[in-house]
Amino acid sequence: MTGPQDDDILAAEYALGLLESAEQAEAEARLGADPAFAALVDEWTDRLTPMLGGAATPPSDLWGSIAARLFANDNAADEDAPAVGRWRALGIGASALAAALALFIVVQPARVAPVPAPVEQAERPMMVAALKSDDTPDALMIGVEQDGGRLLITPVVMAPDSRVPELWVIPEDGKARSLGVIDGGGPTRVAVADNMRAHLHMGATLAISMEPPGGSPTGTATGPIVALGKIVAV
Amino acid sequence: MDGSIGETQDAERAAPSGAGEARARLAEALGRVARGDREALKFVYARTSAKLFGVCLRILPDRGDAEDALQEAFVTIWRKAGSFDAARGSPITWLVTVTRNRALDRFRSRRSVATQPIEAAGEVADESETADAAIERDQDAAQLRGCLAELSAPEADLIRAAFLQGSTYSELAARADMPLGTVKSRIRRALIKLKGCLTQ
Repeated sequence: MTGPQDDDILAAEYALGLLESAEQAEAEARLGADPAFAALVDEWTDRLTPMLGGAATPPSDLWGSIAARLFANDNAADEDAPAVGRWRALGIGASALAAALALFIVVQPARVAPVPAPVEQAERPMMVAALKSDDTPDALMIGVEQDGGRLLITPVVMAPDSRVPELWVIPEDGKARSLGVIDGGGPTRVAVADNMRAHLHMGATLAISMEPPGGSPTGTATGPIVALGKIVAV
Repeated sequence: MDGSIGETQDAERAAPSGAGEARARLAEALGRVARGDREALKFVYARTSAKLFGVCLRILPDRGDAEDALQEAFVTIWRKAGSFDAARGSPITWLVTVTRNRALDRFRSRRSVATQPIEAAGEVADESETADAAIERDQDAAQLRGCLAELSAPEADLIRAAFLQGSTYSELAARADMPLGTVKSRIRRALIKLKGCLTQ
């Protein structure tokens, strides 16, 4: 039923963003299936794009902000920047690494099982993060329950001053969120707050910073980052 | 963060004869971005951030908003580069579309556009046009401006409100206080005139 003229107008309407959601979805579907229609949309986009103005130089530090947001959770191998460098880019202000801090974190069995499960199965971690630092590669393994509900943390070496380690999760938006201070004296069971559980998924980054007693006063890491790593499937 | 950013910024403009090559390099870089290559994203940023920041400023006169929108755009580019099809479209068209969408998202979250009169679109746009001295003009822009000027003022305002403020047909009808059918036929007529003028 539609003639070339109609298609051209529809392409223009799509490129301009005039269509309501249902028509928009239809046009979207056609884009993938109909190269001729897709070409019309591209032609219109090219025609209209000059309306969007010319070039303007963004602030010189904008790339740094973008890189910080993206690469904290980068899966790619990172040869050119040490892990802590990425945190500097986040504006955390990591200084020299604290004295060797090695934590051994053990996964808790699933906390609530609707049906009693075999012990071996319940204790198998679904996700794990290997946290590394410049001083102590692979210093730290953190297991994460499937629902992100709880971690058991057993520090074995502590920083030689009054600062305390605080655990952070950095999901894909690149913003660090505190999971709380880790007790340096012995095995620590960390219950993850309800609103943080969703962040503990594969690809999110876990990190530890050294903070004043009681934890960061600001809600973001203020001390040096001593270890970080991504959550991966086991 | 990195002094090399921006050094290659002018390459595309400076060598129009190399436009095909520039396009191929950009398309190739987007392919690598899709595979998680951060250096490739840096390359894309160096080559296109000035143009894309221009896009953001056009839609978002507030500079802070425009900077945020550009960041959002590159987050999207990083995640969605796999959906760019080099066989089908030009990389810069794809990048501009992604950036415009992020800028429009922010624009909508900032203002209750639906209640603004249509004429405001032209005013806002003109304001941002003169506000940034760094904005350049090229032939395409001059031609488009000329062709928009050949439309009636209400027609041109409708086109601008759609493209620069993300208003749909029904939003435009509400803003202009006109029946939906009238708005549609007016815009379609304007689009045919516009294409005729641009392809002369």
